[in-house]
Amino acid sequence: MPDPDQLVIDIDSVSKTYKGGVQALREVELRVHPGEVFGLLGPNGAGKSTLVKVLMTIVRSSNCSGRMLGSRIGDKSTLARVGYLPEHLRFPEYLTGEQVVDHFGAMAGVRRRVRRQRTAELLEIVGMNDWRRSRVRAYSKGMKQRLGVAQALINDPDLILLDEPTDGVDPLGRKDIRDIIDRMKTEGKTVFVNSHLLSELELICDRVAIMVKGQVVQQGSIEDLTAESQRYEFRVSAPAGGDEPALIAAAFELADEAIEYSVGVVRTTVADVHEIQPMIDALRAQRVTIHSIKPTRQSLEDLFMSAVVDGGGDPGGVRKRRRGKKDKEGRNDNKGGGR
Amino acid sequence: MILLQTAAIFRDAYRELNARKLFWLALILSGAVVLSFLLVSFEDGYLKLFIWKTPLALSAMGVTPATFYKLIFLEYGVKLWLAWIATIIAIVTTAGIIPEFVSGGAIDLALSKPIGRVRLFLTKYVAALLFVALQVTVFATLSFLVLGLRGATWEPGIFLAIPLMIIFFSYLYCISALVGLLTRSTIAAMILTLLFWFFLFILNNSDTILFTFKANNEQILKNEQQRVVILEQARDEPDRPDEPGDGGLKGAFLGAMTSGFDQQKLDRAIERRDATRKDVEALERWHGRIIAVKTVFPKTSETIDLLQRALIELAQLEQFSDAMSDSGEPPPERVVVDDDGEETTEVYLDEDDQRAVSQAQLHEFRARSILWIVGTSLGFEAVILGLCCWIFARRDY
Repeated sequence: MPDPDQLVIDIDSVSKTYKGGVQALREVELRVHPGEVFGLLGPNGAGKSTLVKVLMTIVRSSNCSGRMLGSRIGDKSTLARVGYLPEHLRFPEYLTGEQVVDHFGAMAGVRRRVRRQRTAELLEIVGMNDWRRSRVRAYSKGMKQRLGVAQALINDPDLILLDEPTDGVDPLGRKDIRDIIDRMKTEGKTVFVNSHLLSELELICDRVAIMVKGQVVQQGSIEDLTAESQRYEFRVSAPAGGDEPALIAAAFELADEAIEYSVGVVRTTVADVHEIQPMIDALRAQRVTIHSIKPTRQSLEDLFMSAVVDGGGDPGGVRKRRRGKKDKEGRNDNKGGGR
Repeated sequence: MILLQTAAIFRDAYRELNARKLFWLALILSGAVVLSFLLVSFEDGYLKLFIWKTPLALSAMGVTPATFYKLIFLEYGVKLWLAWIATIIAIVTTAGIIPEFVSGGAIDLALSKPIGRVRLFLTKYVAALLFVALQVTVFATLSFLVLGLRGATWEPGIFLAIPLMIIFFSYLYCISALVGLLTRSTIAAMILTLLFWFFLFILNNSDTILFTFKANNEQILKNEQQRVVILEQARDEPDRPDEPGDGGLKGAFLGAMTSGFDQQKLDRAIERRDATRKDVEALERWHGRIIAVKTVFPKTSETIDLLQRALIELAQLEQFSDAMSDSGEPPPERVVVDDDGEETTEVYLDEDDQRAVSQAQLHEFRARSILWIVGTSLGFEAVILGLCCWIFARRDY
């Protein structure tokens, strides 16, 4: 188990410039705490997969200052404690599911007896037990993805890096993968998820980072990141015979607060619960009926979109992805791939 | 950890081969080739192939059945089957291993494991040689049994075929690996490896042909020099009686049967000798150049021939070579225009001369050191593998 006080990923600065001068990563700074589920978001070409590949030594950084599980990034022996599911993974098609997990377990340095036991357990967990003796060439994309998750866990890793884990997986499979991530978190593992499916990340991640054009523009817990956008929403109605817009205008003139109003709904721009008390008084003074008051905040998607636009990124890539997602959900076929 | 990973890569390589139909086809054919040796037997001066008989007096040739079986094993089993047909199958079968290994999605998984890139690549490379190793092991074991049963010789030297064939194939496979790594294309790896092999074949043939030309011309030069000496003796000692020649065509060529001295004949003989000497010098120069080029590249044929060196003694090979050349082709002739402008045919290399040339050839190739044959070839392979490792270690996937 990793030291609970030590950051699992602690990057001060990572840069990567590909041949031809394309800057994929620009002094990326990132911190991942032990035991958390961390989500990395970004539009296509933001550098998310490159960052993961740098951590896994698949891509060599141009400049790197940071540590993973207490060792410098690039140290091969550390990878024995890391599980990795690559994007667009490809297994040798002549192997069976069982052989795939066993092979990559051996490559990760897991002893045979342990491999046997864990292979059976993991295939059961990812729902591939019935297919364990079938060759990979007969698997669907979703099945390969499940198998990929199983092989990523064969070495009982302290840190698991999942690059687009739900890519090509049907809704049921996505839920299974979410459950597996939850289970890993419960077991005290640190999970790093790279995904474009914002709604899923919102469900499972403790903290997220948003990458745009090779830079991390925001990182923190979803709650912290969306705190600034917290607002209150009132559901209201005027008394019988009353002029609702006029009553609302009168109430907020007294309260001297900026509001957004549409029929039956009043949205305030204040985030503090104490600040809305005078508003309630003002509305009541005008005999406006308050049906409900609820706090609202930006969704992760709104936060992401604004971060991408502010960061000068092209959210079009994201929109394409989301269209792909719809396609995928409808036809179980994601055509919006790519990074 | 190292052992676990190495074993995993080898197990994976075996599974990969196991899944390829060509692997099994080659293995079955290997077995069939060896078992076909069982059909060859000797009975009372006859060579019997299954039910067909052909006269062949081995004892008259001074060759034992054991040696004959070994020669069949070497010429057909090793040189024709293993080092030719089975090697083409091996190149085709293994050409895809490195391109598939470095393809997107597959290489990510391999590189994400706690194994250094250089070790990963080299282990994968060695594991790819498993194809040939398994094929040759089966072939050599069966051959050992067949030779023991048929030729009554239990020759453990046959198992030398295993390392020699692996080394031989690795000369070619390093090119396949390099091309596969650079292009990620199976077709490109296969075609360029076959072309490289063809280049080595041409290089080796150039060596053999130039050496044979050189040895032939050296023998001719010797004869022409002898002819000049005889004619000069006829000039210097006109009263000296003609030496009794062998009465053959070569005797006529040497001028021993001529009577009296003819200055024009001597001039022509000197001219011809000098021309041949120039030819020999030119051939020596060219042969030297070919040897220099060959030193840098892998020596495929000579590596395979090391097996013959280990299994058959030179004296036996000479005997067999003589026996075969006795019933061989007629001696080479050439047209000579005499003083009257009449064209006559002269034999300038008789059977003894040809025998001397083929012996010189045997001695030349046997005299080449193992260090030169295998050492420099492995040096070439090491350079190519070093280049592969450098590319593999530095590339982003």
